[in-house]
Amino acid sequence: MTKLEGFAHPRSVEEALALLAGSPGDVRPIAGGTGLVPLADRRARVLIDLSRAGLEAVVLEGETLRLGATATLDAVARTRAVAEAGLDALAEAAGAAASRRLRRQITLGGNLVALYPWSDTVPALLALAATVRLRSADGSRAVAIDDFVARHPSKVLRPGELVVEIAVPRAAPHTGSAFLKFARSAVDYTLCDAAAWVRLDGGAIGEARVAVGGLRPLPARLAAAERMLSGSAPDPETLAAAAAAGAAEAEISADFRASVEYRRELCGVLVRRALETAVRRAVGRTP
Amino acid sequence: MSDRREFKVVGRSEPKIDALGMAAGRAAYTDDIELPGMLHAKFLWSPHAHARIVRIDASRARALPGVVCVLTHQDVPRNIHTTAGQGHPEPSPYDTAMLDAKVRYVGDRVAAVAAETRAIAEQALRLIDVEYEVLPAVLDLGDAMKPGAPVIHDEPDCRAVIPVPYDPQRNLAGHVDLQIGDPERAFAAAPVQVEVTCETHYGQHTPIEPHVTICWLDADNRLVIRTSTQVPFHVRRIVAQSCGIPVRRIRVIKPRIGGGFGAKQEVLEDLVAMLALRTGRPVKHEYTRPEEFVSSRTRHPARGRVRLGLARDGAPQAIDLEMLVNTGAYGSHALTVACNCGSKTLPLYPCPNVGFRADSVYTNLPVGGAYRGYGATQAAFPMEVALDIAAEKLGLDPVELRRKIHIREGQGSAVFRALGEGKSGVEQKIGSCKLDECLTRGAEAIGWKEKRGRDRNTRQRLKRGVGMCALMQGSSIPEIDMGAASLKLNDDGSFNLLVGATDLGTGSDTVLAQIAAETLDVPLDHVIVYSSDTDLTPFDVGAYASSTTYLSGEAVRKAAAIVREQILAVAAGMLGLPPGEAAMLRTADRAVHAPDGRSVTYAQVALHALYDADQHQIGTFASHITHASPPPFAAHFAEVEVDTETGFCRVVKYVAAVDCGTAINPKLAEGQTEGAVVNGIGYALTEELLFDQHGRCRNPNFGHYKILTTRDLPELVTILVPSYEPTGPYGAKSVSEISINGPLPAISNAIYDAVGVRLFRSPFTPERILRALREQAGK
Amino acid sequence: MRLELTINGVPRVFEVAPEALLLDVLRDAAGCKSVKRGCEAGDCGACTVLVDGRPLASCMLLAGQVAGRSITTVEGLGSPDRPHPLMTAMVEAGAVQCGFCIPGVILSAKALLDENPNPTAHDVHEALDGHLCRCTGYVKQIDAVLEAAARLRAGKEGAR
Repeated sequence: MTKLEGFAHPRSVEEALALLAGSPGDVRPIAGGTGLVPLADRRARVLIDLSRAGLEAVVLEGETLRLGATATLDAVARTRAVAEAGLDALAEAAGAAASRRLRRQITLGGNLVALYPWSDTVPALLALAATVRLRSADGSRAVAIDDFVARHPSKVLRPGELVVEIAVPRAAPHTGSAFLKFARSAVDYTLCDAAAWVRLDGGAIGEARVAVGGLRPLPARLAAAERMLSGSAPDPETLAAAAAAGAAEAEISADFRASVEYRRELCGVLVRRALETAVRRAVGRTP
Repeated sequence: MSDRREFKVVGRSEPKIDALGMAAGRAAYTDDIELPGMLHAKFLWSPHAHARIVRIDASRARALPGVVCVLTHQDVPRNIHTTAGQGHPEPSPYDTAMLDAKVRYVGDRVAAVAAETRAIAEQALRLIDVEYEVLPAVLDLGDAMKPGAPVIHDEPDCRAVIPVPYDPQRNLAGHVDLQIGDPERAFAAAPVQVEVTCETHYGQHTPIEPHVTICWLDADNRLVIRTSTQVPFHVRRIVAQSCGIPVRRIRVIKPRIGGGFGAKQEVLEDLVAMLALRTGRPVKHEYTRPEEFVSSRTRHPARGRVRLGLARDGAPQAIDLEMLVNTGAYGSHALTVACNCGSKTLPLYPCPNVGFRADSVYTNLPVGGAYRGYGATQAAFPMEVALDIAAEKLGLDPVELRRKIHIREGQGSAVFRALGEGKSGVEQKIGSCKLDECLTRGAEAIGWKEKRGRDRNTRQRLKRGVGMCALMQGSSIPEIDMGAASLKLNDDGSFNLLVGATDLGTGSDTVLAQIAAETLDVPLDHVIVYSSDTDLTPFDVGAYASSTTYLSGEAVRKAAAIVREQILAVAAGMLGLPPGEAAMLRTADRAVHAPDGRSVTYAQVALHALYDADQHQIGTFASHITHASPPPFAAHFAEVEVDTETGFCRVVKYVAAVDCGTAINPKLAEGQTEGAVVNGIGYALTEELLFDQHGRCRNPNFGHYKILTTRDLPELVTILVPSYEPTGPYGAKSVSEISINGPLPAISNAIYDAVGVRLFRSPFTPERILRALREQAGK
Repeated sequence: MRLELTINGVPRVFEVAPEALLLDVLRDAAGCKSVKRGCEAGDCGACTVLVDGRPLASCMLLAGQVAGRSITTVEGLGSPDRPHPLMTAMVEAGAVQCGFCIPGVILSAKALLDENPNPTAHDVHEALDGHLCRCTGYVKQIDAVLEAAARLRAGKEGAR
């Protein structure tokens, strides 16, 4: 049985934060609800419905794409601002999750905070060096996505604090990103996904970020692959070698759906393909 | 005899008579009613694959406020039966008790609760204390009959009720064998020999509506069972047996149901019925989706070995099929699925020397039930892969090999007589077969010649290939199953057609109405169908064995023909014709016409017979049993694209060319084909129930048991190739099962064409394909 | 817990348990039997309803989350006497076999056509990818949506 007594529907962030500050253990935010509802997590006395608090906007402001925490994955996949910002990996990742209907319910922020091994958007956010903006009734702060993920959202978030926005730098000239997902069928949890971002400097790769997800335990960047790419020529052999190094490094835990060996193979293939596409896009993105 | 007949209603794609109501969301399904005082039932399932219940104490559960009844094996009669929805005496062993002191798979019944709310019922389950003695379990098909294997059915009262092999001490639930000629000698002498072993896996039907049942006692204290079933009459009989009450106390009603595919050809209602009997209140039980996956019924996984001995021109000299079938923890459909492996594959290719042996064994895993295809799916896989290999060895095109060796109109097969469903079968000659045209038109539609072998030796990353197979199934179980119809005329010239036949979404109500309308010379909307109510409709075995059109349809046609004669007789009187001249009358468009141009409408005939003179109800009963099971035939073609770096196999295009005789309703026949093909592709590529080392299912949910969605669809082409089956109503045969059998072999053969590796074990997951590619590269 | 919802244009007030799913409130309290229970995990789509025009799985929403919002089920789109063009198209295309998934499909299709009156087949495949159907293989459902789209466009043009 449950102790849930009711819901609040704050009309602004401030109102939401005030409610959360009230009695932290008792009161929990709910965004889309796709995590909370089936898991029947009923620890809260009051659920704060964030869907009307004005946190769903996706806006390109200068050099930053600002994604509200309750923007749905469907909105992120289709909103023109994301395409204008040149953030292909993010749009592709958001559009690859689940089914269209579920994407209209799953929120970018909710999915990030829950941080499932299969959260498709997280590798893309890692590769794109997103910043997570948090607010509480007392103030606000920003946390780099790497930190947010590595330390785990549940440990980073302080009582009464909400993710309100995810900020991603607009794609600069000579940069490109890509996201690829592999699953058993079109609407499925990923067996492996890969996100890549490159910045070309002269003819070479100035910087690269590579992240994978679905391999468990959590989405992560592949440092060995990134090191190999930095300063190298973006030719097929280099990309393949970097992908292989990344796959060798990736932490993969057992999954009843596929063996570790197979997912490591997949990782290498997907990272290589994501890099190839990212490079092609970087070449095409001129000032 | 022409294969193209001109009919007025038959052969037209009439919209389904119930479709608009469903599309508009009208309450029509089992769960769509509200009954005052209704209780919610939940069942406690076994956490162990094999265990004795040493002690079970429901006192804490019974004490929970809101709990009205808790049943354990101590509280219910032990009336051992089979849950298989089959005719009496059933060919499946009696090995199931309503509740037992032993559990035989993770998901087996342990206890039942009826409570005021679902939440209270769920809470009560947690308060039932059970002490188990865990026993070693059989979790692999190959271990079931090894000496010393744990005996799953060691109860003294389990038995077969017809004279068939049954040896539960060796975990043998069913066995069938036949031999024609001398296969071993013919093999040894055959210039071309092929041997293939294939393995199929646990899949589930996943009807989108799970099993759901509501039981209540009516004002006369009769038990009413409103349930999502394919077999209302078998439900009535077997629930009576299990509960120990007479059949006459039970009424079974099948409302609209949300799909079955064989999962609902199973009698699972007895425990809900017992809760209603004990509490005196309405009780509803609905399987959750995880329960539907594990605790209802599944496909029988099987291992099948085919050996072919062929002459240099491809003519079969010897065919041998050996099947080992996993029937799971209980033996429903164990024998009959095994029989069907042979009866729905071997006759397709006439051969003087045929061997067939099949064993169905118990394991401590979910229970195989009836699943569309019913053994043909499991056996067509090795058969059609073996023929593909044979074609390559012979230097023949696989399409041409099938064309050469398949059975023809007028031919018979000794297999038909030898293999029935638990008894011997029925001899028959093929009355209709357009497989040749299916092969031609299907090959053309897929682009067979242009695409065959094109990519295999290239080094590109994505490689495409095409593969094919030929198929047969059956239409009804001859000499065993019966269907009946009753028909009566109403004041306005319309008719009530009452049939026991069961529409599970297949559209059988519509098809049967079309047959009646055709025979009676009325438009479709003048036939009002009511089906599947054991108090009101006459008997029918139910929806299985691809029977409804061929068997129940003929009962309907007979009834309609009799009623038409009755109408003519009354019309003759009204028109003042002497009895001898009644034969000159003809019917057309709701009226009876005399040679001199006078006519009377059916409405006038009805009013006359109901109110005017010699008042009687124009109407009748008719029953039918079939004397043959004329096979529909099909040729399936798959084009696949394999990603050689990931092993991912995508079906690009799939062509199903089907001869189902006359398609009574072409759109419905296409729909059956399309649904079966998509289900079959899922079974071939993405669907798989996975178990851990304790026999627990790891993925009893749609999240991890992947059925195809709209985004997985290939380009799907369905070609209905008409033939005319003389023994079927208006030339019809069946169409509902055959096409689920095509994707396994067609896709396996297509993968071989694309990348040169053969997959013998389903599903063809990307990992399995990649591993096969690596092994091949290593050679 | 008091809950206000507008269902098919009619403001309704219910007294429900706080943890009630929208699915249960719609089927039991509101009597909308067209909303089906197929998996209770958001996967099959049979429970889909429009929430302020957006197709969502009602088994994945606590009723309290959508308090005050407007819910549309197929009962609100049409009836057998006055069917919505999507209903007619589904029936005529032969897309309704067991019919269990159809109300959800129709609602997702309606949302698609509201946002894009001229969808491609690919758009339709994508809009319906959250609806599992075991009977039809989807082929005729997709045909039906494209046909309904064409009829709705023609109807609008005819009205001008």
